[in-house]
Amino acid sequence: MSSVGEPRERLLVLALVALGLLIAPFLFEGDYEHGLLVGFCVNLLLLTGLNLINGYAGQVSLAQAGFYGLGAYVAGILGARAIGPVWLSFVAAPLAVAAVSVVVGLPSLRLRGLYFTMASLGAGVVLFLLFGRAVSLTGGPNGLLGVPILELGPLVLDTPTRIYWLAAPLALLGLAFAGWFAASRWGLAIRAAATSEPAAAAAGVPIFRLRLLTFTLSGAFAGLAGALEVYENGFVSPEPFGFFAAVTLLVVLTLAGVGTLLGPVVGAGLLFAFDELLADASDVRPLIIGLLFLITVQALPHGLVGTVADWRRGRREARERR
Amino acid sequence: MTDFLQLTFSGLTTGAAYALVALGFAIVFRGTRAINFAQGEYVMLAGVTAGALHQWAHPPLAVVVLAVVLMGALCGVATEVVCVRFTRRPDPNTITLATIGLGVAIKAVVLLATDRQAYTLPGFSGDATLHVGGAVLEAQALWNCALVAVAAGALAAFLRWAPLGVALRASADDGEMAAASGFSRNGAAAWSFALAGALAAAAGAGLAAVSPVNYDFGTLLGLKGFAAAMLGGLGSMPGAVAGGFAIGLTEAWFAGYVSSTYADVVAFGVLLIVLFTRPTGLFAAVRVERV
Repeated sequence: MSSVGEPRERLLVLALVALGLLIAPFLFEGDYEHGLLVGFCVNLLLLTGLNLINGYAGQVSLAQAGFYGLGAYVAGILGARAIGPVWLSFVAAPLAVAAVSVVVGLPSLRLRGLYFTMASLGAGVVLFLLFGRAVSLTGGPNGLLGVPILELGPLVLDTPTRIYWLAAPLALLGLAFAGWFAASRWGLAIRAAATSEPAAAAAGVPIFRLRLLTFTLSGAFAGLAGALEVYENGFVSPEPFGFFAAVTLLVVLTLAGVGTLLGPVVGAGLLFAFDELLADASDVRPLIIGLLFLITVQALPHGLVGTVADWRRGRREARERR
Repeated sequence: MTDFLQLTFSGLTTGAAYALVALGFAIVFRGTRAINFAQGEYVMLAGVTAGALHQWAHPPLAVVVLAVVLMGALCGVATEVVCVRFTRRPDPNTITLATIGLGVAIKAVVLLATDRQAYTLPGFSGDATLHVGGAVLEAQALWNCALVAVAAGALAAFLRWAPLGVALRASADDGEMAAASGFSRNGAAAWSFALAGALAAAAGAGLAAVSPVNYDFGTLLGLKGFAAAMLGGLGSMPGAVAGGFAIGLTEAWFAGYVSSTYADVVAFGVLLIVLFTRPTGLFAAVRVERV
């Protein structure tokens, strides 16, 4: 069963992440770097959500990129057409994606293992194709123009730095919520069901309903991430939400470590490092992602965080035996 | 009526390609219980290679086709080495995920090597066309359907009568029993991947003669071929062929009569409907697992 660590350990992780988010904008300066840091927060939210369903519930989803795009388009269209105040996008996007997650999850979470993954892949690809084809609504392949500057009451978030100070607390809150959820009674039940379905069912765990709840939460995370992304960019086009994006999210989460609190943080950090190092060589990126995935799923199925944890546990047990 | 015929012909042309891709999914699924997501990228690689080979040396078309089919089989063997042999626990889920990584890597290599250029082959019998009931039928459509017929027929005969084919079926049925009789599971996996690669390469050559092929050609095609395989019933050979043509025709008719904008969505709509209502597909071949 995936482990959530002791409460003290979780608080320590959260405190360290908070500290990191606080000093990062002073280590990396300038609008470009701060834009990448907003990207880090967006990816952290996406991966934290994905980790709930893939890691704790053990149901590998490939729909997260499509859900992310849906959140971005919902927030962007509300903003561009000036429907309601701007802050409403940040409520509407997660709610809309959560609602779609329920619609997708109701039939697909009745399937198991690879069949659920395929259904989520189908749903994600359908969303991606719709972004490009529903031209009158989304602007089609050319993208959606006219996304306004983010204003929350008296606050005008018109630079990447200002948006960062909204994105960072949201990402931290999301991570804290996910940690709390995984350690809660519901989280325990869903993790137990991922280890042994018959045993969990016999213990009275309502497996299907809990999986649907987890899938819905992961969708809401993607919706919030999409809303942040669209206001940071001021623009949205279908390209970043396709099959490759879905695979990339799965890759970095697997490489970092699924089913751990720190996994999404390490994963978002890896994506940040890719953006920093490969800024001028974007064509090489898919090759690196593909090869990393090929190696990781076979050699490090528990990811970096999980492998370190296994190693520490092994050492501790060896010490206790002595 | 003319419209209908025209749409049907175009549906048969793409349907033939989906059928070949779906056959590849079926073979690998029987051999390993995994889904080979590199399948669509083999098609793209073969199409690009065939076009580049033709452009570079102008060999006879038959030589080009044979060369890429051989290359496809080798790609299949390489897939087995990279995605199955290196795994500590070669379970279907790990193999499936590994092939996704390999597919992304193949696409990236072709992107870097060709710099987004598209390649074509001339039609196998030139630009010959037939006129049927007022509609124009490109000869290449017939060639592609013939490819499917030959591939499916040869495959069926191979699995039915050839000693190796029988061993493959035995291994798909009960791997441990087949291994106990001296046919290793790795061998079965390698042969399955090789056959799937050869079929995909044939599809790639056939498609390059219909439309230009670039690095981005394989991903959507592979996913649609997968939808076709699911529709027919994952692991069923007749199901794969039927599913491929069914998706190709539905797509063409939808594009003609409903909306060409949303035609690409059809295959995935079918995939979701099949998964939600009848996950074993139309021709359930494999022992029904709890899905």
